[in-house]
Amino acid sequence: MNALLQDIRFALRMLWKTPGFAAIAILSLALGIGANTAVFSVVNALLLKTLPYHDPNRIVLAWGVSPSEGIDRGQVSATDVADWNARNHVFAAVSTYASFRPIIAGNGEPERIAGAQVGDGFFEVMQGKPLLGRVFNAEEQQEGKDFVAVLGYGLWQRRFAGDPSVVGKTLMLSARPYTIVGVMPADFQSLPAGLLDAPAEFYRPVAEPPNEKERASRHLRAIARLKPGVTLTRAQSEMSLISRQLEQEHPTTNTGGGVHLVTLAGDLVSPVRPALLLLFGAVAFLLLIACANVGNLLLARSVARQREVAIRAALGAGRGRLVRQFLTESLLLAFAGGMLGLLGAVWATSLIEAAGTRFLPLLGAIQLDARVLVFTFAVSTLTGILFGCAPALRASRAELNTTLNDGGRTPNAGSTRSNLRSALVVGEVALAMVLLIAAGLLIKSVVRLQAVDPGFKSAGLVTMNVWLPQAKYPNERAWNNFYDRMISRLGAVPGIDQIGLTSVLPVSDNFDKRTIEAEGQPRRAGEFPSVDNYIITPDYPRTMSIPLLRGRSLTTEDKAAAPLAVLVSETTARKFWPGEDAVGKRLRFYNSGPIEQRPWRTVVGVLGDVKQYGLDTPGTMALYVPLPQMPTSAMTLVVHSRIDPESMVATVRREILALDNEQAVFNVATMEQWLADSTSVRRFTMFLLGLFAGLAFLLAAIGIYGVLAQTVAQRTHEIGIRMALGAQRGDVLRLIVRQGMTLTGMGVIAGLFGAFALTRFIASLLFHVSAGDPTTFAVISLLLIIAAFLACYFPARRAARLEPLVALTNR
Amino acid sequence: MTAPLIKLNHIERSYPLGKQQFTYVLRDINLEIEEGDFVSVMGPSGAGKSTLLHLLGMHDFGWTGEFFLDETPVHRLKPKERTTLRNEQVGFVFQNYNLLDDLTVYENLDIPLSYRRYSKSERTALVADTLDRFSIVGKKDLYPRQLSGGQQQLVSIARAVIAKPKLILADEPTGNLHSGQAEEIMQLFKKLNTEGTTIIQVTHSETNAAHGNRVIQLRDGWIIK
Ligand SMILES: Nc1ncnc2c1ncn2[C@@H]1O[C@H](COP(=O)(O)OP(=O)(O)O)[C@@H](O)[C@H]1O
Ligand SMILES: [Mg+2]
Repeated sequence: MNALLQDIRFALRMLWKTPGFAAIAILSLALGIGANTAVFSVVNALLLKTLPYHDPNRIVLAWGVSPSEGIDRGQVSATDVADWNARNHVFAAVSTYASFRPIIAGNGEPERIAGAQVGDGFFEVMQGKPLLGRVFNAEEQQEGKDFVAVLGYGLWQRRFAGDPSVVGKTLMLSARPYTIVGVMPADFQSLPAGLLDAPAEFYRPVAEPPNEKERASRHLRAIARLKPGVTLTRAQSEMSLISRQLEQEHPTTNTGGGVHLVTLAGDLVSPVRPALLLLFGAVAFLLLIACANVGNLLLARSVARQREVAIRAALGAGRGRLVRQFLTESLLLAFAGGMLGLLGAVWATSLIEAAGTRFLPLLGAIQLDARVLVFTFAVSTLTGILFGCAPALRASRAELNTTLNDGGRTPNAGSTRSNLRSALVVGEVALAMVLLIAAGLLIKSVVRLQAVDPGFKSAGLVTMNVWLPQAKYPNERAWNNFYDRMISRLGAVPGIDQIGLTSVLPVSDNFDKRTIEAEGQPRRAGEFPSVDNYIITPDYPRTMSIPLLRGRSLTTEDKAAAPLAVLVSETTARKFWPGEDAVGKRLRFYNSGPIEQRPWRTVVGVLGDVKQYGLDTPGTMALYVPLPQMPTSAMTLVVHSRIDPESMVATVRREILALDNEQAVFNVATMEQWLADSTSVRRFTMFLLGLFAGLAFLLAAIGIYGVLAQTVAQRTHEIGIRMALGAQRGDVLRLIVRQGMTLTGMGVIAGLFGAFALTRFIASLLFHVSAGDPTTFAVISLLLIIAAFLACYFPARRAARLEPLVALTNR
Repeated sequence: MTAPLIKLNHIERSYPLGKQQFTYVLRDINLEIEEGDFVSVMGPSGAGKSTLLHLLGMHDFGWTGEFFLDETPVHRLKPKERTTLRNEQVGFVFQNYNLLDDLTVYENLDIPLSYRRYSKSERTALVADTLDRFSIVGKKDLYPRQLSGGQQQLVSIARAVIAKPKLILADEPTGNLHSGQAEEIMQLFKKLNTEGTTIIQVTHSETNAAHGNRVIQLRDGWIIK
């Protein structure tokens, strides 16, 4: 113990004596350890920590799938779920849910709030027990008895000030009275955004009893709790069996459909898992580079300390004792770096959290908990041992005689030491190279992605949802009336030049898939040609600048009573009528009511394709129906203004409130924001990887510089001799640069091989760039070589500027 | 009469000691050395002998005064021109040989040629020639640490003459050798001198100095004889 304290005291003194060295070493380590801690805390929050639900590993999502339609995360119908419920043996409970976003009034300003409709058994699945009152009973799942609400703890506090007698009171949602039957406790977490539009602040019943006519009405999502001891695989095979039974029993509605079970945690993190693993790999590389750098610095320093070590050995210090002395020093450095890195990580995770919550709903849970602290401590310790090992062993092996007799000069030990140092630099360059190439590929992907034409022009567009509450706007006339008045009122606002309404906005996560059939093309069994359905006002395509390719656009003459007209997308036209003119052809929706009531609709024009599901997806089959011919009360307003769209938001909001002072618009955003959001995971990954690669690049350059600067110091005498024998400055410059560039070249080659081997693993994150993209490989190699050249040039120039006499007399 | 190979006028060399203080190492040196001379520079330790030699070898530019080498005014040359002149005219032999540890005898001999304009085949020929002339062909693949001190100095002299300099500067070339080896080195110098090479050596030994035709005595930076 005493000896250890003594070691620590001595180590501190040694570090204090060389503050420049200590600062660089600690900073490098802080970068490496900090980046690891930050990424680990994200991994911890998303992949390792259990979700904030009761026994969350047993909660599974049951998505509807339909391979022929390319649906893998589809919705389900209440009727199918009722059959699952009756037939399965694997679920303790299975239920449904859907977003429900009414306007709440009373007890404060009207606002659009986020809630969920939930089926029977939902609270059993979630294992939620109410704090006050009760949850829904089976009876309340029937139409007409469903105007009951369970409040989330937050809403209860916010709008009812935590009133303990709130149960039994009435709540106005979209102008309808609901009876409050219960309040959930604070620790009952809503399903996250991603499954719902936004985390639910309250619940109401789905109230859709099984009904054979509604079997194909798939607008709910299913969630279930596995019975104890039942594995996901077993549950999946039973659900597949049930799906096949339903397929046989109800071929018209269920052919080709199935169920895919996934754990809640798996579903939530799967979109970001590849990116997270990539980042984790990247920071591991970064830390290795930092270790190599600090190891190199320590090795360089151990040259200067040979005499000290020799004297200690001569005085009887055993080899173990010497190793311990050196390790104490490197561990001290590592812990200092770890502390600083932890501070950096606290700051970095808050940035990651702020930037990432939109697409990583669970990120809110990032914390520097015990696990993160243990991780940082372990990484620091390992790091300290890793980079401290080489110098410690080397120092302990120093030959006593030569060292002592030679006044500190060891003629032959030098070359093995510099071999090790050279190897470290080669490794560093190779690691940096791999990181830079990965970052380069990702950057190129994002650039390619941003160059993709979404099919519309986002500039100048502001969008917001304008949903009309049923109670106040009970029928189609009322809806059309409100929307007409809104459009004419906004049309008078200076600066606004186009106004359109659509039921679904592109790249917004929202969609409305419908099955259709074309006249004269009977549907083949198992085939569900599905289209993205947009209910629009005539000006919508012009507002969005979606080009009209053929025929005419919709007009105000396409009224409810007029002949039914639709626009189709280019892809729709090509799929149904290849080589023919789509204009004049007819089609109809497949699943809406009895066949005789499904009217044919005539294609009047063809619009360009729109990327509904993001820039990295192909254009889809789409159908545009005029609002009067398919009335709905949930529309998205799209406004094009000649002036800054952001500044338009308040004006538009004010004009709408002037029409209806209880109308709360929501999801207000510019189209640019929607587009940016749709690529955010990619851009976020690119940003972080780019950052780490940049740091790696910097550390590698510092590494090269450090080794060469040290080399110049060690080779000064040799340089003097060479000058005396006729070397010109250029010769000396070349000598040093060649040494650095040889190491760089080996590193670059190793890095190229490494990148070839590793970039395949990020192929899923790339877009229109191959994992072995030659341009990226070439540009990055060049970049590294140029940087390495600069890192070599400065020490080399210093060597070349030596006066021969000074160099010769330098010992 | 032809111009001397070396002419020094009022050469001074000082080092800063501290603020505004200087220590003079060479003082008002005036000296002429004819082509073909074999000069020994003598004097006690610290007298400025090495300083003078490095000055003549153009390793040091921190002096004042005039220095003509083969009628070229060195004091007016730019650093690069001085290096070129040095490469054409001067070979240097050190007391501690200063062979490069990581290079073989052959490679050490090749260094001066690599810094001058010789073709690859000329270099091979010259190195082979020199190995032969100094009877060290058998040692060509050995590293300096595998040679005795005398052998190392032999290689070092071979390296100094390989590029055919007019002038050889040798700073205590036998300082680390025993008398037998020293005698061999002196014989070698004598031979080079009779072949036309001008030689300036620093030595403490009267015996060595006797091989030359002229002695310069330095004391505290002054030439006293
Ligand atoms: N770089 C230097 N800075 C200060 N003094 C120096 C330097 N180099 C040599 N000297 C001094 O110059 C004097 C002459 O040195 P030197 O020419 O090596 O002597 P010698 O070779 O005759 O023994 C000595 O006193 C020495 O201390
Ligand atoms: Mg001397």
